[in-house]
Amino acid sequence: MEGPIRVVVVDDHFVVRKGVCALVMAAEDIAVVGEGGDGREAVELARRLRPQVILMDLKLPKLGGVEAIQVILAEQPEMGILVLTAYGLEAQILAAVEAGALGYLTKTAEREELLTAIRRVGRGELYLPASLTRQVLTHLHSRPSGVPAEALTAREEEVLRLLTRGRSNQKIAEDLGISEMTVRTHVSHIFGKLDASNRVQAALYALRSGLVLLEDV
Amino acid sequence: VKAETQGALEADGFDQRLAALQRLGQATGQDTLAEVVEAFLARGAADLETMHGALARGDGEGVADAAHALCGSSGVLGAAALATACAALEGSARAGDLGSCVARLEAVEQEYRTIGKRLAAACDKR
Repeated sequence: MEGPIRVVVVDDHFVVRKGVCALVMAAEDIAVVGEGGDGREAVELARRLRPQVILMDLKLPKLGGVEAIQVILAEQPEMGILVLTAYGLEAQILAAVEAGALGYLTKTAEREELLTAIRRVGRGELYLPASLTRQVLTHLHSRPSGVPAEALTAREEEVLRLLTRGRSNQKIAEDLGISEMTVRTHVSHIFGKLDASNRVQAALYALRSGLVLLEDV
Repeated sequence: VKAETQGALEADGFDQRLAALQRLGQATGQDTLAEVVEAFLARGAADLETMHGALARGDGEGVADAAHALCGSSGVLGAAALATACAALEGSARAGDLGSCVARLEAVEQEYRTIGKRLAAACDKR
């Protein structure tokens, strides 16, 4: 990825927006390019600035965070949404992940954790704290699975298994002894066959179809 | 700053984050630290008032929402004890356990006062 990861911060609280800006300022590979205070602004900033990552709260005025995520990802499915919220609101966090948010972090997160999450979501990878992953997957696992338009190859299934376990493209490449570029190609084919917009949706297919057992995640 | 004092500051996320806000202000030519402190105290006071009003009406969701807001801003500022107190209040309020909310709200106010003093001191020290 060339240049810094372009980030937009959306929160109705000035303190949170500035606090996040201050935390990421010293990271040379991350640049906050915009700030918004409500869900409508999030949608507008996503259209205008096309950031790689939107860091957003879920309790937003005018348009709620989950609804804003749905609108943004319908228009730009490749955008990485990292939810930043306070404790609680599990139902909304689950809804956000189901809507395609790639990551979730509490506002009490340490600076390094925040930077790691932004970098991972910026690469299109999942970032869910272990404590939440099982809860999210258990909730979403109960939904019926869809049928892919085209069957996955054996290699694609291997990649999908690892992806579902939260492995980055780099780690998958190491595990399978192939290049990261090849992994990206496999992931792209998996998304196409499953009609998935992101890794969350692909991972959910793997769980619902039984390709990966919840106990193995 | 003496080495031992610096060490203590580095171990304290709150002071680190205030320093980061000050650096952000220096980089952007704004008094970001003062703006953030002012906003935090103004909205924090309003959130506390909302919590009291909601608790008096028996409105658990109202208490929880205001506690959630203060939890978020204090968390980003690195005010961990205040964030934890707010999270505890939010949890009780959302569970409808309004009886325990009285003591939890007192704990939030106590932590808020402590943070308010530290914020004022940080602004004075500049």
